[in-house]
Amino acid sequence: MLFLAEMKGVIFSEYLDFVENGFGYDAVDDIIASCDLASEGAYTSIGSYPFEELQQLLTQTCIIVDRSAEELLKGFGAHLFTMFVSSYGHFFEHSKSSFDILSVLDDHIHPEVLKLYPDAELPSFEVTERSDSHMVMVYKSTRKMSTLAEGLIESCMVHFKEEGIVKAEQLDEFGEIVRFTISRTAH
Amino acid sequence: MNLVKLSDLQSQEQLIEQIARLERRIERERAARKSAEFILESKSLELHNANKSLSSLNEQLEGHLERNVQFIQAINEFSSHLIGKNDIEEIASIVTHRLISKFGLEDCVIYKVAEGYCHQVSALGVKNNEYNQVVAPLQIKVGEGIVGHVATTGMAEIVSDTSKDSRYIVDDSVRLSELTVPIIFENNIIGIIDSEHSEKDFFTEDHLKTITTISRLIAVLFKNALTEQRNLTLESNYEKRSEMLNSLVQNLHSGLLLSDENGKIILTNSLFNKIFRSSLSDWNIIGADIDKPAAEIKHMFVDPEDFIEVLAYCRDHNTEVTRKEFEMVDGTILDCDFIPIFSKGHFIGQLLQIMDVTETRHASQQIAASEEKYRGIIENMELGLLEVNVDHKILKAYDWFCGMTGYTKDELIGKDAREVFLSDDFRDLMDEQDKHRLKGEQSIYEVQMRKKNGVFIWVLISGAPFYDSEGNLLGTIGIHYNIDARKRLEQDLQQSKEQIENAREAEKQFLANMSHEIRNPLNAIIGITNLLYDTNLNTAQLDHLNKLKYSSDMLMGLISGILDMSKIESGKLELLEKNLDLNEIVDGLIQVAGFNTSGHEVVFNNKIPTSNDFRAYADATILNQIFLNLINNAVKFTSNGSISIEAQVVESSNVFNRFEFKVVDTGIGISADKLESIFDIFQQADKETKLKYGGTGLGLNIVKKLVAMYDGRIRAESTVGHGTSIIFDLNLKRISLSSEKTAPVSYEKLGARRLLIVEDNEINQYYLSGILDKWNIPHDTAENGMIALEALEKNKYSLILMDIRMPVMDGYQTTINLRSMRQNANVNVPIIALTASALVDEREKALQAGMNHHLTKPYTEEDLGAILEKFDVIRKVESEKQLTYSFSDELDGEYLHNYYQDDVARAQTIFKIFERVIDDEFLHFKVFCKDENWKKAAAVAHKIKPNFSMVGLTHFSEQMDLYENLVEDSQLKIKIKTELPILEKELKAGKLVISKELMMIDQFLSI
Repeated sequence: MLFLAEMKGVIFSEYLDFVENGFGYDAVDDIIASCDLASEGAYTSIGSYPFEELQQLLTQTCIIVDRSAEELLKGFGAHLFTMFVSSYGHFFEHSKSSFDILSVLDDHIHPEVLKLYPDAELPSFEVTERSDSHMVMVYKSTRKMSTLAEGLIESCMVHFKEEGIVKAEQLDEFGEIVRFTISRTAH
Repeated sequence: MNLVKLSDLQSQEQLIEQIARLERRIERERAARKSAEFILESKSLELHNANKSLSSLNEQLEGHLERNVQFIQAINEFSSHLIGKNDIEEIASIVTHRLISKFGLEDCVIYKVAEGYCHQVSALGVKNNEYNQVVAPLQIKVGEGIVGHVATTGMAEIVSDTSKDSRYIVDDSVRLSELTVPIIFENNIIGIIDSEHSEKDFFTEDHLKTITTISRLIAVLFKNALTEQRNLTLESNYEKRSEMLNSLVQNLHSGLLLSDENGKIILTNSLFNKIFRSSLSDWNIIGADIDKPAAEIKHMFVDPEDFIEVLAYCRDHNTEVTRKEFEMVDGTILDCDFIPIFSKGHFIGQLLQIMDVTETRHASQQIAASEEKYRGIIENMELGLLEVNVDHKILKAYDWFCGMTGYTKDELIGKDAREVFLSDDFRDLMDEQDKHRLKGEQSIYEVQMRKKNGVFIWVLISGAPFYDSEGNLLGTIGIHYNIDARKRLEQDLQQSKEQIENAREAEKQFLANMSHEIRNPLNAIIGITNLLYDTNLNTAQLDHLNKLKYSSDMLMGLISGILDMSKIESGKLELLEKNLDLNEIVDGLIQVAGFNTSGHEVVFNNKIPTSNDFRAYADATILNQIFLNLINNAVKFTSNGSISIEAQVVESSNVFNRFEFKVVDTGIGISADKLESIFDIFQQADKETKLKYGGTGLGLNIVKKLVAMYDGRIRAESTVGHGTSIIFDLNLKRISLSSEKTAPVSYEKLGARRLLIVEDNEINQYYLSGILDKWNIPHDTAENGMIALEALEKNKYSLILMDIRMPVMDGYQTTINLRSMRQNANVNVPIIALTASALVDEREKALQAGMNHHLTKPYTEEDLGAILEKFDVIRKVESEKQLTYSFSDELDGEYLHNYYQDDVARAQTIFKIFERVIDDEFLHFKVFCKDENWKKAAAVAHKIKPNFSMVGLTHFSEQMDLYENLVEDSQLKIKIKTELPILEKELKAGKLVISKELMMIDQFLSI
């Protein structure tokens, strides 16, 4: 079931942009060439593509650019966050801190995403604790891409010019459930 | 140059690669764009379609709105037509008309729901195309059809195809769809609007909604109209009812006068008027004061003032007086009820009810007279009559009864009959009788009644309930018959019967005890008589002895008979049942009986088959006694000819076989008139028989009783001069085939042995020969010592069985003579003494004379076998089935066998315990004896006595039994000093035997 699931095209096109930005189009070209993709690497943001293709791309990227998957996913997270801010800046207008925006992901932002993309499969972020300096949220997704989420959270904090630590703890054996503990030291 | 060229070449190659990458990138971008365009195109198509369906939805909404407006207008119009209408049919008619004209229905019917039915109140349409009022309103039972169903559920229904609905009731024309809506007011279903249509699927949700709205609209009106209709009905009902009541009052079979609380007459009926019309000045007395007509009619009464007084009394006291009878001047009898009437506790008037009871009264007087007549007749029959009410109070006592009890009538009337006449003993019986009376039943019973003088007499009472003319139970009339004389006689008889029975019982008990007491000394007499035969007697002495023996045997037979009979009668005879062979039993008895036939030439025929079918579980003693008595009897009366014993199975079940036996003799016979009584006690055929043949007359009676113990009967058939057959049957338990006869111990002879029997007694000779024949041992018989010595001269014998007391030469002498004949081949032959008693001196004398062993009479086959085995004449053949352990001869085998049965393992345990403890115990005994502590020594002796018997060292236990008397017996105290060392030595030997025995037991158990 999992490999049949589709992912929104915007993630694929943004991923290739991220690789191109970091390692040049030659790397993108090499990566696509080394994968066996049904889409042949021609992604449009309004389409949907098998999640398995993103996994292939990620794996080949690791080999070709000689980086760890974790590093790449965190970098991609940062890239995506920049894209979110420029494309969907209105979501950020009323938010004053990273905690503000992170805590409304499930309740406000994801419902809005679903209006545009009804078939999108989104991770859930349940906030279990929150104070001024401290927030705990639980990531749940069959995509097991909590590292990407970690990159997004870190970029978010940078965006709000905050300093702090994000600690990730895997709560199950597959990585589908991960607890993030975010501690802010200054903002 | 080469380098340049190489670099050029490299950069050129790089360039080409770069171009290729770019081309691939452009291709990817193009493909992505194309797919994006495709996606966008399909999305815009979707958008277009969505738009289109949205605008059509909008149009529909507008149409719907318009229809709703129309609907509301129609409903409004509907309401305006119904305003102010309160006649149910008018309302229904308006609704049906408008529904058909405005809503395009084919027909419409309205029902009201009441008393379990749907009543049609308006019907319009195809079914009633005249558009008229309903002529014959249809009624549908609630629950029946679609209409009836809705009348129960209260749920509106559309039936789109009535042909598929089983509830649909086909009317004059079939309509294919139907809409049925209930009219509901405050949760009650008060009506139904029903419409049918000739097309299927005609009715829509809109129809349903419309008609449901209309039904709600008219529900209130409908309800009001219904209530009004009901009120009208109630009013007419009230009128009808009062008319009925009036007619009832007028036609009543009693005269009525009703007055109000002030005494004004409100109502009279025709019968009242008829009775008193002649005396009234004014016929119309309604509205008049009751005193006026009362004064006018009072002269019609025999006692005018009485009537006036009662009337006034009842009115003034508001009291009810009923069943008051007045005699009228013209002879009629009036029964009057004066009844005050109250409403909510207030006196509102008075009812005077008058009935003419003249005829009834005359009739009951006649009945009373006739009853009196019959009572008179009963009285003349010396039967005492008494009438009591339900509380036992005496209503009437008749002359004979008074005479019987000694009271006068006046003394009895009003008294409680139970208290006067009965003791407490009869209370329960009388309560029982009361129950019968309440049920209207008559019964007869006996009681003791107390007379006035205190004496009790027995009377037989026939009690019957009696009633008044209305059938109410008034009480009991009892007919008493004096049975005192008869009762006393009965009691006397019962008493003497009991006395006789007690006496008989005592007599029986006495006989049983006495017989027993007599038998013991008699046994001694007979025993000693027998012993005397073994002494040297002269002819006169022998004659006396014969007479003595005859008499004592006779006496013994009589006493035994009496004892047996009392045992049987008191049920004290216990059955000891064993697997028996019927043929064998009879055979044994014939052998014995044969010796009693001296002077008779009688042949015995035992015709009982030897097969397994003629075996049974039964008590050997009883069967022996039955056959012995019958055979002896036959022998007694048969001087020559034959005595046959026959048997056959006449009935067979899984458990029992019923045998029929016949003992047939060819004797003197019994005459027919005596046949019946020969089995009775002390009965012999006749006096002559008794004189000639002797006998006690008990034998056959005992047989009869014994036969009855096995559920049998006995009878005799006889022809005088030809013989008698005694026929009897016994129901005996069958032996199961698996439990075959246990294999008897058998022996086989060893080599060519020949035995000599020296015995003068024929029976003993016969017995011995029989056994030896069975074992195939050749033998000769000598009647006395002299004959024996002659035989010993001629033949070589392996063993001699020698009787001691014999005429001519006794056993001792014979032995001494033989042992001294040095040349005789038999000089050292083993001689076994056959002693009549177990007397020690006789035994010792035999051994001194040179005999080797002795055998005490009476001896069994096994006893004889054991001796012969000991002297190597025969050898025991171990039966294959024999798994029982035999204890060695040095121990008391019989005791051990009885004690342990076949539980050898238990014997092993006990023997081991004995081995372990006996030394210590015996040491105690020895020490106490040496210390002369006799009390303790005796206690130890008592304690260890059973230890010895349990291992079969019987003589030790006997010795210990003796030593238990050590305390009292001073001689024993002296004797024990010498005995103790011997005993100790013997114990050592005994212990050795026990050890050996234990080894044997271990070996036996290990197999």
